[in-house]
Amino acid sequence: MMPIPLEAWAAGRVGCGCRDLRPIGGGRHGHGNCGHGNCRSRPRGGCRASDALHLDQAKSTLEFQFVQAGAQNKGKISRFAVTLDFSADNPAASKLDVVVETGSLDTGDKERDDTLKGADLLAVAKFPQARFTSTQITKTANGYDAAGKLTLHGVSRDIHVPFSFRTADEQGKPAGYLLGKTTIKRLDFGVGQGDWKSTEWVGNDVAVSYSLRLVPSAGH
Amino acid sequence: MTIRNTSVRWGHVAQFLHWLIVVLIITQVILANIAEDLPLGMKKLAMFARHKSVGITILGLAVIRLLWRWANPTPALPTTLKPYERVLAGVTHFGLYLLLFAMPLTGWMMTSARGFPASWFGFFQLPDFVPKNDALFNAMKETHDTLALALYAIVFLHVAAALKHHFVLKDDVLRRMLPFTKKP
Repeated sequence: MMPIPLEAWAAGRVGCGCRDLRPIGGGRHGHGNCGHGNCRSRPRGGCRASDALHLDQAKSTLEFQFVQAGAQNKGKISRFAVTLDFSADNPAASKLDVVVETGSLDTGDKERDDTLKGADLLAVAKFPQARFTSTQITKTANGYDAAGKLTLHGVSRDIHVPFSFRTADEQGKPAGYLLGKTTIKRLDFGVGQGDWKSTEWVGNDVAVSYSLRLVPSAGH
Repeated sequence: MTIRNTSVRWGHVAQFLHWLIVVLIITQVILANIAEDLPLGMKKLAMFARHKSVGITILGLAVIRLLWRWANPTPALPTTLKPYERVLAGVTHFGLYLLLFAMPLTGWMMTSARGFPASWFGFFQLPDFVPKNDALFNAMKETHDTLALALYAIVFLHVAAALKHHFVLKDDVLRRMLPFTKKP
């Protein structure tokens, strides 16, 4: 496995930059239409320097951490989808899109999970998905920063998703690794009604950490 | 009266630890019973969080109490006690000390096995005693509940014996653990 600069990889690829962002369905959506002229939007100029990457769910984790009664507690999300459409030539046009099925959360305790999914917290029945869509990706000292909108519990707020990104050549096939952590405030999104509005026993801050393996769409 | 124990009387420290732990155990029983009856939610979470914090406090006090007992003379039992009464007193006291450790430790194992790390009043987080394990949680809950019943029974014996000493035998066994009483 030899890391290669993302820019070189992205810029060097010629093919269909499929921008078809339909990450619903836990990242198991097919991309069979790509590469045969069926893509919804083909970047102008022969698709150069742009290529959408999709989640390798089996090798990716999305976790969250929160303070409950003074102690750090962890949970993970098992169903989510990520599309990173990165253009080295034009970072401003790059896009990160993440869709999370909130009902797939797992804190290791069914009673707690059910409470979290309930009407007073995530209200999963009403808002089954949370979505982050970047509006601008910029280069930072440590990697990248995706500024964008997170819609959670039906409430949209601007957040920053900082991440590092490296690519690797794995037996001739490229893969991207996106790592990072951001903190959101649950009450900004109305996650916590009734008693749960209090932050005395359950903290407002929820740290979200992501370790994603991204691969080019099938058919490329 | 002195800070340290004498051969006939418990000192200030031993008395303070005894009565503080009495108050904390009563608090524990109240918190546990309130929490058990509450529906799943914030209030239940808060009650159990306090229950865990108080439990850890008792564990710490139990360690201090045992060390203090070892470093001090233990007031002798009245010479009028029959041999079986001495054995009974010894077993009861040993049982009480044992439960002062067993209750918090099984509780700590419960919360760790459940996957809910505990904190001491939000000041610091306790390390996980055991890894998360549902079967272990159930076993520990069972044990914790059973030990609580054992505690009630032994406390009943302890209190009954203390009252018998005071009102029937009219010795100073109870008085020597009471603050604000005259030196015998």
